[in-house]
Amino acid sequence: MANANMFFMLEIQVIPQITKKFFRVVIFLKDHGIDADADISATFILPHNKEIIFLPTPDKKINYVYPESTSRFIHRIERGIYMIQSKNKAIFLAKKIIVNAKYEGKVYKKDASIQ
Amino acid sequence: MSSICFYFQVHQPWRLKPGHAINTSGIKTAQRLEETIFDSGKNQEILKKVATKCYYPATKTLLGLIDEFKGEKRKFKVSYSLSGVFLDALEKFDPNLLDLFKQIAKSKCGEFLNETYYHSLSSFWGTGTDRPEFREQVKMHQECIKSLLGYKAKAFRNTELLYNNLIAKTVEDMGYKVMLAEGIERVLEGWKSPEYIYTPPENISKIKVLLRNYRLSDDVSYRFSARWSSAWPLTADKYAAWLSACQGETLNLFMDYETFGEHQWEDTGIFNFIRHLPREVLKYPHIDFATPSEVAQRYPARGTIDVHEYATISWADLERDASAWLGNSMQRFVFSELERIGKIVRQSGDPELIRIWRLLQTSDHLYYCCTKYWADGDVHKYFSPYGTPQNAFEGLVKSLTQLEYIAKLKIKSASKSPLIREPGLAAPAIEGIGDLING
Repeated sequence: MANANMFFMLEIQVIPQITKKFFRVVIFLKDHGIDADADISATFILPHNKEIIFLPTPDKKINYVYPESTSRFIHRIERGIYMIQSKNKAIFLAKKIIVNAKYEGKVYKKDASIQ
Repeated sequence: MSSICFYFQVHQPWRLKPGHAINTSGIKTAQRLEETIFDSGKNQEILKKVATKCYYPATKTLLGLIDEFKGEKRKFKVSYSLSGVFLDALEKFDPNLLDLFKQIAKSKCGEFLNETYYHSLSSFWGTGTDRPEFREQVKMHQECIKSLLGYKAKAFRNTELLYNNLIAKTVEDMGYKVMLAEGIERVLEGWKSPEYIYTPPENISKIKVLLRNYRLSDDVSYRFSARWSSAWPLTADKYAAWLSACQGETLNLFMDYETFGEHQWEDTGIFNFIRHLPREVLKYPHIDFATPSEVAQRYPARGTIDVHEYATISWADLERDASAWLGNSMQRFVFSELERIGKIVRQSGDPELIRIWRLLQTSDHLYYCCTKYWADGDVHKYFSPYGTPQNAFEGLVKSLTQLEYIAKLKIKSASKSPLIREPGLAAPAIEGIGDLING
């Protein structure tokens, strides 16, 4: 019997951006081109196999933080759009970010190197 | 005597491709970025479509009316604001249409107003009257109107009629004597109506403000073909009778030019309506047509309107505020990014990057990110070339991120450039040359 989950297919786009003052990653999630929400986390890979993990904000409300933030949360901007914005200095050393998303019972993963 | 002041906004944004269709990876030059993010084909196609349905027939109709009444004591007059982005597109793709607007400018029965060149929200950036980007864009528009239409504008309208005391003061500071705003009830307490001229509070500015009569304007621009409206069908004689009932000094009918033929299709009878309107109006001896500058010259200000910076008004949506462009997190994010990245782009000194940054400032890009879901949501959806607000946002984020990256490359290469090396340095740095070649 066909598994209903096979009709779901999450596409993850990760756009990292480093500025002088903060580090930002915008994450877009789409299911067959339609904006979709999922349980996501993001791991920054630092030198010497160190990692920093960001998790979703607890309330999952639509919210947006200005660059002053030093929190370790992934903020939901709108359906299918998430943002990490941090001044945490360690993150500036990261070379790679891995985004994990749990969507309709399946885990999806996307790597992005940092420019 | 009462004066009818017709004003039309003419604007087409330079649209981006949908977010999912933009792939900016590896792009290091302004030219490649422009080709990648903007949808040149679609922009030309839309301009051609709207020109055929609206701009040509409407402008020819109005030119015909100007000609018909030019020998009369009471002439037919119109006023326009053509955005710089729109004029750029005309110069490039439809110079014949530009010639029609030149004929209106020559007729002396048409007034052309200034606005921000890129139809942007730059009037929000800065403090007090120190708004350099806004001033620069207005100056660019001034020069453009002068060189293309041979016309020195005396009146001003801000993008989407965005207005507050400080914007008014800045506009006055730039030498304008009159500007346009929305005649919304919350700024018209007591006896006040949009049928009179006002100024900001006396200690702020003396600029004359003409307020849009939104009921009578929307009767044409929104409700003309609405069969649910008790006034349907709206005929020229019926509308002229409404206008004649005006108790005040000015009837400011401000609308999108695309009302004619695009928002209200030709088969609704909109062109016949406008063709017969002047004759019907002029049957009433106490009404004439005038342009904004003429209205401001003819009538004194009858009171003040006080619009605080945090209560800015506009002509958009039911709220008539800035929420159509800055109402949600996506929009506020993009707007703050535009401001931040602007400093880096300016520092790069690259005119092409600065132009792309300004094209991205066009208010329509923010409008497409709007997430209002009620009555106005349909309007936003109608205008948006994207499937969802998120898709529009995605395109903007990708474009802005790469713009910042290229601007930083430019700054970096300039700092390594042999052309600006320290005095006394013997040989140019090889890596500097490489970066310059790569752009």
